[in-house]
Amino acid sequence: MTESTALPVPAETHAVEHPLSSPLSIHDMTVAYHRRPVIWDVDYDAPTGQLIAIVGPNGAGKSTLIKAVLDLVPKVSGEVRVFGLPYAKQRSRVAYVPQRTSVDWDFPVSAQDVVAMGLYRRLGWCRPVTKKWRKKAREALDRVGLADFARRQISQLSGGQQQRVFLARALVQEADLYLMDEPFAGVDAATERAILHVLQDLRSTGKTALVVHHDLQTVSDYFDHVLLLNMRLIAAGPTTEVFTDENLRRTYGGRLALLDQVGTRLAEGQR
Amino acid sequence: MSAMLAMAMCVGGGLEAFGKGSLQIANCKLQIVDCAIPLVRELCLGTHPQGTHPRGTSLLCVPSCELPVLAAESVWLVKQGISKDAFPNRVRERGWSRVAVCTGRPQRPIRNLQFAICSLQSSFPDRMPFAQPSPPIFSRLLRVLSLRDYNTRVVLLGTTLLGITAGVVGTFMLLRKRALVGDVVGHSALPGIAVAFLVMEGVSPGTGKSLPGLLTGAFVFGLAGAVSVMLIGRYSRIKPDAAMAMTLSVFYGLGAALFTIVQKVPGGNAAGLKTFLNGKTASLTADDVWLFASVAAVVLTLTMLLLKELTLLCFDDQFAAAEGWPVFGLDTLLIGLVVTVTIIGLQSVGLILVVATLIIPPASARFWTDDIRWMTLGAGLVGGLSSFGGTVMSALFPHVAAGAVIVLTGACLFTVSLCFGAQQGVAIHWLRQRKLRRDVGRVDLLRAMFELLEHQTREAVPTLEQIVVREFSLADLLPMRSWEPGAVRGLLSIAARDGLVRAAGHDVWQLTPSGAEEARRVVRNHRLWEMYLTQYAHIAPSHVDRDADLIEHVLDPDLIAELSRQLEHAEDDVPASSHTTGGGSQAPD
Amino acid sequence: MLHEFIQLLSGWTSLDTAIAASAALTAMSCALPGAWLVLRRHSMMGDALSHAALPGVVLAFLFAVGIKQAGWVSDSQEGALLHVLLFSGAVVVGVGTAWLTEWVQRLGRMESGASLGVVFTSVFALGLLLIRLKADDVHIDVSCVLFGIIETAALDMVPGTSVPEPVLVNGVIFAVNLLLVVLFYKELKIAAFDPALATSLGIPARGIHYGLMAVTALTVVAAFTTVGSILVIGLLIIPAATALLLSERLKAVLLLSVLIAGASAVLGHAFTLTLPRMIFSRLGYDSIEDAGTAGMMSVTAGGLFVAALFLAPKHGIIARLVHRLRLGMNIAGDDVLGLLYRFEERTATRPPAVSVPDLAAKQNGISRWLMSLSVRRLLRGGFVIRQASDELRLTDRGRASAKSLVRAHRLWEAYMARHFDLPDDHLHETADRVEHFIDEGIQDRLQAELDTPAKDPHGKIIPEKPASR
Repeated sequence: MTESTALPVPAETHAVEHPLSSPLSIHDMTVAYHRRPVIWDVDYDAPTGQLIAIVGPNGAGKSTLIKAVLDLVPKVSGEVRVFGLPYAKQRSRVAYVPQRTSVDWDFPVSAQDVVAMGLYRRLGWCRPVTKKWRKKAREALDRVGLADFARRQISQLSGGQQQRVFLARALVQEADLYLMDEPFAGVDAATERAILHVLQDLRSTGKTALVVHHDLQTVSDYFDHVLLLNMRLIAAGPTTEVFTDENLRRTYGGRLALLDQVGTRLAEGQR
Repeated sequence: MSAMLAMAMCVGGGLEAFGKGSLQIANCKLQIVDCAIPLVRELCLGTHPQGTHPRGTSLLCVPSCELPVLAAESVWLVKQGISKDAFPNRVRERGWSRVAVCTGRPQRPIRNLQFAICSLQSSFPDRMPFAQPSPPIFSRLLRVLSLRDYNTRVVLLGTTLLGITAGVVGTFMLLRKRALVGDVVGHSALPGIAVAFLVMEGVSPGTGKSLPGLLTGAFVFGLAGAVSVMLIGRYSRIKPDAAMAMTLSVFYGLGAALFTIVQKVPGGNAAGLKTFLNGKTASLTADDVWLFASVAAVVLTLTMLLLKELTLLCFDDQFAAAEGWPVFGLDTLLIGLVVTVTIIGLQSVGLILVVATLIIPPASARFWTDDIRWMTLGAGLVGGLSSFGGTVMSALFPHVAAGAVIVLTGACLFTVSLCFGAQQGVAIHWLRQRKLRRDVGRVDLLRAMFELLEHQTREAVPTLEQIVVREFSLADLLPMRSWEPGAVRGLLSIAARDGLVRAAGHDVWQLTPSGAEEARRVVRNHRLWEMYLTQYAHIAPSHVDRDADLIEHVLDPDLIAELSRQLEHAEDDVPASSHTTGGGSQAPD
Repeated sequence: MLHEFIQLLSGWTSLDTAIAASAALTAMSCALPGAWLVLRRHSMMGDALSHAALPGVVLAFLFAVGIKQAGWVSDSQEGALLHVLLFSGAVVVGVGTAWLTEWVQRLGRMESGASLGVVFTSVFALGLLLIRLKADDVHIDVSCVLFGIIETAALDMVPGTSVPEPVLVNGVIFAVNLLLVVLFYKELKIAAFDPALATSLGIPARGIHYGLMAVTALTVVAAFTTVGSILVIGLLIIPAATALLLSERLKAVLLLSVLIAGASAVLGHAFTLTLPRMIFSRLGYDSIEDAGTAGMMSVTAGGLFVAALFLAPKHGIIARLVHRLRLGMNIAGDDVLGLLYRFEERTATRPPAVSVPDLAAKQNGISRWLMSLSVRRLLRGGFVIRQASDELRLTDRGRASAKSLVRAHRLWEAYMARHFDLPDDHLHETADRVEHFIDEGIQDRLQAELDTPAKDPHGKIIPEKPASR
């Protein structure tokens, strides 16, 4: 059997490496799940202490990318590391801001209650939210400019204020990596400034934020890095280098029909 | 449909016979049922001459739970072609006794046995010849409320506890948007009761009606029902609403079939099992109440301990999952709590209406508060109150089913909450709407006056003095907006009450100094918004006005400040309109 | 077992036929409005309407009694009066319940399920209370309401004929429902699919909603005497849900749900006569002869649903499992072929052969069991031959197949290299996963889009399209 032991391994594989320092390193991640946009083979290492925009057209898989990182959507292949370890072991270092429309805002809780939810994991099972923690929640609300609205029921807040409540909930987690799904969608100017202020604040303390962003006009003003996505990673890097007309044209220049078609088949094969 | 007819026709005839006391009762605990098995046979085989109710037919005395058996039996008899003479043996085997003779008027057709049976049965209790005269209602009420009877105390305590627990657990189910799962659980419990009875009778005859055993069976099947809904949703394309309706009726159908069987098990006395259907508080014993109390204590403690986890689950399950909370586990726990509460609630309201004790209290409580903690407490309160009230009523009026009254008490509380709830009630909502409408009207009025002045003085910004001296007639104001004279008069009178305008003659009005100040303020807000929209939202100026009308009523002070900053206007300046005829128009491009 | 079943069924009489026919017509008349309820995602509305029918029936009786006592009708007119009252009561109650639910939902700003739960339980409780309070006038037994006793209902004959009355009543209702569906098929369809579009086209979507509620309530009341108020939910919903598993075309779904409804009714009665006796005689209860038909109908319908859930040709669980297994085997087989082909490519001078255990070692991620299964399949299909000492070698047929696979793989790599900003060494893994899903059509399109590349990004030759297979 000498010849079969000498069987040449097809030379089309490669070794896995992870920069330990990266707050988020996505390695060859493919997601094809049930009517969600497919994302192909994303390979990305986020730089530390930067504001990173995820930009792409509708159905490009921006939210799916974030959800796959958070294990909310199963991956077909690939690996995600947060500060060098799998996400499940690093939950306390990650804060997530879902889309505002993902919850029912008629729910009977106050702004402060929602922010306190960010503290639940640190509190642990069955422990009630005590004064000390409520104070933390109010501080976070203060940071987003909603100190006066702490006791207000969430349906009585404007859309922008609701978004800021979600942001405060992430802030209170005191994480190192922030994943935000469309925080700037449909908010007023005051909220936009408040969110931006918080983001800059985070950057100055060495935190990293990945933000799904839809407004191309403001990308260069708000973000240091940009990740252009349309079913696949088009380009990623410092905004000044990557956010070019050429790259944008490639991102927004329509979907690749074959990528779409094969992706649908792959998703069906996963079920 | 003749079944229905028969029901109506029984109104007179045969029943009156009972009322006249022509009925002999062997055992007062048994209920009276029609004679009709041989009758059916005759009718079906066509041996009876006119298809009418013959005088002098035997009446059977059958425990009420065996009605379906009796019906099936009649079919069986017909099939077997058993003669009338063999029937008494059949009766003896079953342990039914022949007790009375119907002296109903002859020639009255009773074409449907089923409802003939039913009609007699349900009408009889009120006509019991030996029924004792009851004391006046007031003294009965006093007796119930003063908890003088040990039994009353026990029953009231038990049902009130159940009501509280169901309300508390139901809160989370309602907020998780799965309110109707309780309905599925309740109906699914039916076969569990039958199976538990069969198993216990099989293991040791005579023990079939031990309550903990029956409740265990109900629990297992109730849980199975909830799980089936989940599985169907997961493994097929069937939508959750259809999955619920389906599970509910299949389990219930199984229960209905098994109950027919249960009643035929020899030696097994299944009487009383059906109290689970509609609930029967009167049959609660102290032991049962202790069981409920301990279960309720466990459920309430768990809910209180996990208040924050359950809140998170109901509010934002995706965030909870991202945070590493076991969403599936918490969901399962919640379902488990609901099943537990539903099962112990069967005794008080019955399995068909038990869902009401899960939904109505939290839905009522929601109208009173915007805080989940208060809502939970409120739901417990409403649940407890309606159970207490319902039980008292059913104790007062012996033939009123407790379950129905408990639900109806809850429904009354719900209606009151819906109308007068302090936070979300219809009344408060209507008041808020009216206030908003009045605010809008006031702003429109003031702005119309200001613009009129601006238009006529041909000056960009009228001074306060100019505003105050100007008199406005109704005819001036009417063309400013598309409004009716009556509406304008109404707005003016409200504004006069608020001290913003004062009457200067018939249909002639003047702004007061504070009204002038207010007019300047609202016009400024309006114009700022117009400018903002034209500059930032790329809306053509002619379309601005309508949007601004709607949105200026919701502008926050901080947004106004923001607009002022962006538009670089001095704080007290009223910017000129971008499309009015007033001078100084500086429409942005 | 089967013998016993048939033997027990041989006791089938004309009475059984009457029962089965009544049951079948009841179920079929329910299936039609039920299908629309399921399609419109209002299934629980069926639950609400069937519960709400109770006070409607009670009130109709009270009215009838009142009118009769006032002496306004003669005995002979009474039947007709009651029919009119019952059916108009049903319409009023059905529409009223739907309206009340909507009203509570809007006024209280509640979720629809919650408002439904509040409304129908209250209405049902009211009905129960009325029965008890007015027991002297309305003789409806609660057990009959809750279970329905079809056996005795089927004993009623239409006067002067030998047609059971439920057959006539439900038959008429079925015919009416069928007519309505045929007449308003287009409107129902569009209102179910997209109410907003319907409204913009001038079709009153709200009117259709309330019309459907009225028809459902009418059907429910007609079914009330035979199956009771709760089992009727099953007849409304289960056949339609089962049909939806079996077909994706609306007309087929409607037809199938009627057929399934009829089948579950007839089978249900057959099972009533047989199954309980077969089961319980083995448990030592010889006295058990049958069970209630109404309950068994619902259980049978549920059984048919579960069967469809597993056996449905396209979306059934078994079909999906088989599909998955076949896909897994195809992938494992493809991997074997691909490996052999690449090996051949490298060592063109020597006759290539690979041992089976070696294969399994090379293809991590695929279970040994699946691997040996797929190797056996390849051998049987003549894609590979087994040589002495357990070594595999490609046949011509296998080579053609492998070529296509490797072609797909390398074309995909080339495609990704063009469109992705990735180093070349990242391409293989994804291509390996995707190659199985790229058929010849896509291969051709890839080739066309890439201008017929000769080599992949690693410099390997992309095989030509196999001539024919």
